[in-house]
Amino acid sequence: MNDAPATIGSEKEVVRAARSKVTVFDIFLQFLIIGATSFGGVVPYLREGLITKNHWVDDKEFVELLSISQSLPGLNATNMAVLLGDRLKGWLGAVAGIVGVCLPGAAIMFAVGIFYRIHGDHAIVTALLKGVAAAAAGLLLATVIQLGKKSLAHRFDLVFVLVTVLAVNRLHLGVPKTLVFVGLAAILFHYPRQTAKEGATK
Amino acid sequence: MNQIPALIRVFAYLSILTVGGGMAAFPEMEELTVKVHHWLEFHQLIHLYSVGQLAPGPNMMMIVAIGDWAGGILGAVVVLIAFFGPTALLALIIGRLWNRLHAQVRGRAVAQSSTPR
Repeated sequence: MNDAPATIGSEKEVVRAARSKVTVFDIFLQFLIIGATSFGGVVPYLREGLITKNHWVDDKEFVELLSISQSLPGLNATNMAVLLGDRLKGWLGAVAGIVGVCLPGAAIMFAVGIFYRIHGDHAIVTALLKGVAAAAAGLLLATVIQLGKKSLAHRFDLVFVLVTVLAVNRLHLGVPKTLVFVGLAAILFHYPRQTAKEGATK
Repeated sequence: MNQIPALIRVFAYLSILTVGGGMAAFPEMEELTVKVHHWLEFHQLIHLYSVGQLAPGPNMMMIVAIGDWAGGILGAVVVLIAFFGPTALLALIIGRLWNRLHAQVRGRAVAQSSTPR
């Protein structure tokens, strides 16, 4: 075999070897562990569990699948579970991945729901939940800032943000309508204006 | 009253709105679960959403609690399937199309580079 680019070749070999041994149960178990331990965002845990620990995918493939799952509707975590599971073991792997990653959180929230329905009006619980709500608002704000840094390319983009907030929160236009209108406006705004510039120079 | 069909409809619809993360569906979730169907009150939705953010795993698992309140255990299961089923199927299909496209492009590149001219 040719092992000219030694590091890249061996990494691919490792991934190939690890992948040939994977079973559907392995996928379920790994995603179950990720689903039970991933506090505040699943992606770093996926990277740790799938690349560093098990060598089921390499970094390049991981990033490729991540960008697919970010452009599709659906949560990142579940889309990644489906895409990775399918790559490893077909549709059974995809099912094992998504069920595994959802099960712990779903069980926890099921229990929380029952507890909250019974004890939700106690003073201590209400106080606790106010604190938790504040923390969640902080987490959301952090996500918004992170997203904004990445996707607000132009100062004028803030106008689109503002219009969206007003349309949904104040005018109660509904999310689908707002998305269509603001989305269209944003696409038109960011459309490459080369033809216009060429016309102007003549 | 049987809420199962309404739960399926609402959460399958919300599923499609989650472009760029679960919170994209939150305004419509408020509209449909609180104002239209009265499954819970607004402050309860806020509380469940907040606790859900602190739970591990995908961050929209609080929908399970809404399903349970509106339709019992069956409601919880139905909500999970309705909310994650459609996008999971879409991801599976797009992932496979992507693979095929990749293989085709690579195949064509290899064929082109190895053709003597």
